[in-house]
Amino acid sequence: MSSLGIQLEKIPTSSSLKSILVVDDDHDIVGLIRRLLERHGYNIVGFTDPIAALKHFELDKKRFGLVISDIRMPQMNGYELVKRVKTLKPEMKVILMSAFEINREEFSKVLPSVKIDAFISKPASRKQVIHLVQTCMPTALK
Amino acid sequence: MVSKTSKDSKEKEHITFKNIRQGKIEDILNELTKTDLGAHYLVIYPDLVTLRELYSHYIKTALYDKNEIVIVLPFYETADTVRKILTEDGANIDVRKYEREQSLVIIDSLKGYFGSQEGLMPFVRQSVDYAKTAGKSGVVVFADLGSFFYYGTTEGLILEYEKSLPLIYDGMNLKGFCLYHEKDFSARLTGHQQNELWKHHGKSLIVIP
Repeated sequence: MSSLGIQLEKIPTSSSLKSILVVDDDHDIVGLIRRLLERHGYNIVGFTDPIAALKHFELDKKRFGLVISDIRMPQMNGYELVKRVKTLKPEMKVILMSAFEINREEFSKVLPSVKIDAFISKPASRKQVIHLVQTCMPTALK
Repeated sequence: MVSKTSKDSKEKEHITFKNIRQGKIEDILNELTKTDLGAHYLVIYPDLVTLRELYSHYIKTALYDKNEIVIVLPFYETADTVRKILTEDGANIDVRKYEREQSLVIIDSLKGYFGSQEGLMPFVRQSVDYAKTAGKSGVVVFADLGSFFYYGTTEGLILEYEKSLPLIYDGMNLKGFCLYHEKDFSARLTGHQQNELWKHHGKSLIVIP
């Protein structure tokens, strides 16, 4: 309630918007996902370097509602990144993506106690990516 | 190359660098094409674009001029992407034809090394035998070792594997190029581990972008 006794609609500020952290060593993929999701109202923070992405996440983890990461990346792969992200923020939603066949059995061996919300097989359709992201983050404005 | 500690850096100074060569892609390509059968080299590449340029040129020479069988084991790109690169980007290799006659074999590195208990070596030996009967001069293996880091902190595994291979494939019509992404090599391995790898290869080539 305002001081005038009127119920005001809360206007989201930039700080109240949940962002999506996108990590892929392929610059083009990061750009593609950024453009696609920004068109649907999401805030995107993209990295091609998983170590830099993790450092950024560590400093500003409250900001993020979802992490989308490639699996095969040099220096730190998607499994390692997700494990670290979940240690910092266990409730964090995560989508893993790969151009390779994703073997769920093998995945459960590598990360036995880590919940992954969705997998994306590259190349994926825009519709599919949007659908999965919307499932994990139903509204862009949270 | 970045070492993890100053102790590592000091240790590195004691290594003789005569077998480590750093150069632009043309220099490294030149070095690779001059390589004789028996060689077991370590190649560090800075990024995928450079690696693609390197392997597409080298494979073309190996198939067309050297009459070698080529086994490629990519890790940071799919086998289909390698096929596309070899078909299109400047190399213009008839990939289907060479795959059909088993002169070109492209297998995902993870499957090649970890797909069976025996690993890759039985297949490589079989290919060396096949090369003799097929009138080929030998076999060259172009393998990205990134797959050894896939299951997490298993750097010891890569050393164990590399140490199991000889410095020179003596008496075998085989050449092996062990490919490491620069970020894996410098960030995942300690200076000591890097030194061990230098020591277990006949020559080490670092491609600078």
